[in-house]
Amino acid sequence: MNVVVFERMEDEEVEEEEEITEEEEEYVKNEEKEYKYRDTSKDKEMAAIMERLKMREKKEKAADLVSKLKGKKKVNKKIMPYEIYATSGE
Amino acid sequence: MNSRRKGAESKIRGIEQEYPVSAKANLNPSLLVNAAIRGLKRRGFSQDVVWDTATEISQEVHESRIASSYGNNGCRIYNDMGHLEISTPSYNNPIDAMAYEKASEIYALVGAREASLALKKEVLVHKNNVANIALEKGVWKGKRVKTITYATHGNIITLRDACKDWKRVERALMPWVITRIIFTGSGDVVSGEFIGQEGVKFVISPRAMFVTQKSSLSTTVDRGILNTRDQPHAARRYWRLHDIHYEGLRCEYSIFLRDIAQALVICAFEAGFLDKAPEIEDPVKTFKTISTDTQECEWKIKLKSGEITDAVSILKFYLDAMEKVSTEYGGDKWEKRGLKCLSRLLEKFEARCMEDYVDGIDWVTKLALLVNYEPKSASEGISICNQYALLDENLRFYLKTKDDEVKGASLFNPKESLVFAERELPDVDRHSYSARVRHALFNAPEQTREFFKTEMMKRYRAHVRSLSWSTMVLNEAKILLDEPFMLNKDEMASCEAKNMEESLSVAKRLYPEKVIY
Repeated sequence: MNVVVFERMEDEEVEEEEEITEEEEEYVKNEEKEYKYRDTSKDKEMAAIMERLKMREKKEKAADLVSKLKGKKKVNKKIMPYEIYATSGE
Repeated sequence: MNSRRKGAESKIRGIEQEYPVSAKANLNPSLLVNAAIRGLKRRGFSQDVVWDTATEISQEVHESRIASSYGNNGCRIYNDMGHLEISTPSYNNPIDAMAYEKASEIYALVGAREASLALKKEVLVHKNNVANIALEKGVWKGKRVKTITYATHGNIITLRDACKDWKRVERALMPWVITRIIFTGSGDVVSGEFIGQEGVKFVISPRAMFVTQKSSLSTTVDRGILNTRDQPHAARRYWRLHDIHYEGLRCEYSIFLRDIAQALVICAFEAGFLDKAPEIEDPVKTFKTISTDTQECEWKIKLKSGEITDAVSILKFYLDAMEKVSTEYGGDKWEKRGLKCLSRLLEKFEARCMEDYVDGIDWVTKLALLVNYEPKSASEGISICNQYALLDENLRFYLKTKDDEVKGASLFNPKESLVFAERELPDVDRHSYSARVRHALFNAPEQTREFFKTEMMKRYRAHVRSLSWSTMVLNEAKILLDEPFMLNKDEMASCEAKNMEESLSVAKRLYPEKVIY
């Protein structure tokens, strides 16, 4: 269960992230291949590759937050349906 | 007489907390709140007073309909549109900020318990800022959740001269209010509609989700990031900055850090150190974007200059200004401690190590609970957040110094919060903090004008006709308490007044123009 977003959004987000990761890997491989044969504007290409890698790094770091919180709080109390019945706004 | 105070300790501040009081039975919220207020009086925590509404400029009519009671510690208690509102007395240091927030929680709990007894129904009270209502009973899926909000307002005395040009206020303080949520956010779930999605979403700052403009006078509709309410509750040369984006925090450490950082930011603002604060391209959108960014925590911000930065970098600008003002104008031990804590927190957050702040920062603690409970549904997620906000018998922990047992169903653990606070704040220990909370239940802060009011109420109640934050009317005289530190314990103790007449003559001698016979 994704604790950050409940209900239907959860699966969509995970899938999206996986897709991006796969895409990125493929992109980086292609870029690397092409790099061998092309000398022109290689700095630009390298910068683009680095940018994509940075993006991937950030995503990995973000995914870490939730996993780093695992085991950080005890869950020894029963969850009760504490609905707040306030009927008016402030 | 007050000129010796510099820096953060020269700023009086206080918190207004709206507590939702609930019962499973379909009872009118106002009925529950009134029962809680009566209960507090019955238990000797408060007394009825006539509140002098003349000082509530532009809200006189609304205020005149509210019945107020006055807590033994100088807090104001009233029913504000179906919520139990408790406004702490004004204090001037972060340790009092912690102690009076806990005292306020205990007052709210005592009220709810008394209401339970009187109404013979289970009455619950929470400290948070949102209620998620299932529009169709038993159905939580899709867009069937409506989130309503109630407030925690922070108040801090500021110089009117500094606030005359509101554009300057916006430039200096708006980026602060937007970015500070990464350590002041209470964390909660709100309806997914806020982000154009279904279900519910955990956000860092639930209050940020209700903002529609940069500044506003209203606190209930079309809310602004900054609030323009002009009610100094003091002499005209002051401006009370009324901040509607505080949130219902429970962790001691976050209460400490919010208080001292806010006081230092206001000092820096007055000194002109924030006049060139970074300008955010779209403040309203950015406020919400940061609040919802609990997954990747990029907290990206686009500046008007076109530069892309993040919330941590903006907070570093503010930390720098706080350090400058503290070096030049202040620098008491709480400022030094606060600056050290904020600097450390920003280093950790820059590396995105938020997990080190479980039990210290509320939104991180709530997120950790959600991660570990693994809720199976939106309603379970909502319940976890509500159960954290629940005020119950675990508050007894604060009143004891030896017994380590934490009782109650609330998911907020006061013991773990205090362990965290003790680790980060070496000047805080459980024994002295418990003593401070016990003191804060029945005594006003000693450094501010609240001391005089509460002492007069305790000793000469029958003579008191009305009072407000800045006035006290007795049968014998009217006292204008429009200077934040006037008639505090130091001033009154030096004169040893033995009865009311002597107290008044001491006040008259110290402030000839403020006591009118």
